[in-house]
Amino acid sequence: MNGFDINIIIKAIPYIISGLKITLFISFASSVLALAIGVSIAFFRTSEISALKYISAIYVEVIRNTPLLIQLYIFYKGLPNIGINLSPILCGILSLSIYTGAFISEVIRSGINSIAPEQREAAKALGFSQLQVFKLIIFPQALRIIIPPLGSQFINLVKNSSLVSFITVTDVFYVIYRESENSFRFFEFFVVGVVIYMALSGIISLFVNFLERKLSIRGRMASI
Amino acid sequence: MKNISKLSILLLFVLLLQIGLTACGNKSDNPDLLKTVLKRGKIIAGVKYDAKPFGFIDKDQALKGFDIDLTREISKRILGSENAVEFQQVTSSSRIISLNSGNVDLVAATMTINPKRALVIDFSSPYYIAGQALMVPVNSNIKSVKDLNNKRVIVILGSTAEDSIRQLAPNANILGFRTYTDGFSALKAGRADAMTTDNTILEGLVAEDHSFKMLKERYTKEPYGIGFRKSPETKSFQYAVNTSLENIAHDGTLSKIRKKWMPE
Repeated sequence: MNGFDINIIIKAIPYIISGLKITLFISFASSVLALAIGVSIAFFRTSEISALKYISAIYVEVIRNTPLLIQLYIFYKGLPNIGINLSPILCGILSLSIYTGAFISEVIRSGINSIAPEQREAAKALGFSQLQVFKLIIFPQALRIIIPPLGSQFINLVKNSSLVSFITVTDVFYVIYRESENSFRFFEFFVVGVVIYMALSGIISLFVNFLERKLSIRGRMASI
Repeated sequence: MKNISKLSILLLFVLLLQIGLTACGNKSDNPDLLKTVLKRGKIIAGVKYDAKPFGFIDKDQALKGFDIDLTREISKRILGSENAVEFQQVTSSSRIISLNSGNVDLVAATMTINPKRALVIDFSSPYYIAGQALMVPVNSNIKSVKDLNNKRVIVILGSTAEDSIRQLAPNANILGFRTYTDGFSALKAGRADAMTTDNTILEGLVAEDHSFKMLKERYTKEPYGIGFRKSPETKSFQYAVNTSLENIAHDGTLSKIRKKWMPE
């Protein structure tokens, strides 16, 4: 087809906006939950209770090495077989959070491990409890290191959120797909889709850069 | 040095992209489709793999169906052999794109002829008339499309059923899937209360799973047509296919195919 028909995009703007609202909602809710899961799992992996360590390690391995779409379908199609019927949006948020949480836990774990063990030993020697060591000494320093890779995990989360369109959630990708189908203007709509996701990722990147600058200490390297 | 090589890589990429895009755009450089098909010795046809009885993979892993047999008869009349066809899978969403990109020469995939599509592609004369119907679980309270208010209905994205159900049941919650298998498995999992598409396809699904039934009402007339890319070079190919279709209808082959796949 010739040319670029901007009118068809303009007509679809109300649908695109409602789709965008859903994408933003799912991305935001999943990010919060994923961060909570990631921090918890990272903490469990440094725990002294071996059962906790073992289970969380298995969780990370299984979740990271299976495709998100399969995990999504397990929530959407598999759970009803054992009587659990969650709404499509809830399936999307839970699945996305569990998936991204595994990756976030690895990012946090490597940040924590990069803190020199001398810090941990010194804190222990001063009588800090396990939780206090993590909360007051290790985590604040690790935070500076993990902000950039954490940012890219959130960017991945936003892009992965497009998969919920496969389980009938009317996010921005679903809307773009459906509108491109009905109008036969595939190129126009997919360009819009690319632009929207790039904008979302770009906003996250800007925020990550801002945080990086705020947290950095001039003249000091990220790790000792 | 690093900046120069990065820039040149970017320029090379843009150049290749430009060449790629212009290559895709210049359909008028392509030779006549009928000549290409004759030289190639086979027709490349886009059919459905999940729409019993029109195009589906049977238990013995073979591709079968009404559309398959029809395409074979057409290739017999144009190329002299029923086996001079190569089939490629299309779905309701991808069939028009497959045509326009030149991946397939024609599409025989339960595609309803309608004015909106006719702006974008060319159709053959109709070869079958289906009707949109509703499928519900056997013990459902839904007796007609009026009972669909606030219920969840599954449609396939890109089908005519998606458009009509919006008008027939404006207050229904419409769930769109990309393939019939995806949609039907969601219906079986209790994710929706009904599914709507052509009666022929629903019959195929009900035949596989008797815990569902198809309601008697037909809401639309869906004349199926073979699809072609809208372009001057497909005109002679379209003429050949349409002539074959006429022969197939007149010499009884079409009714034979119909009786084989829709025995009633």
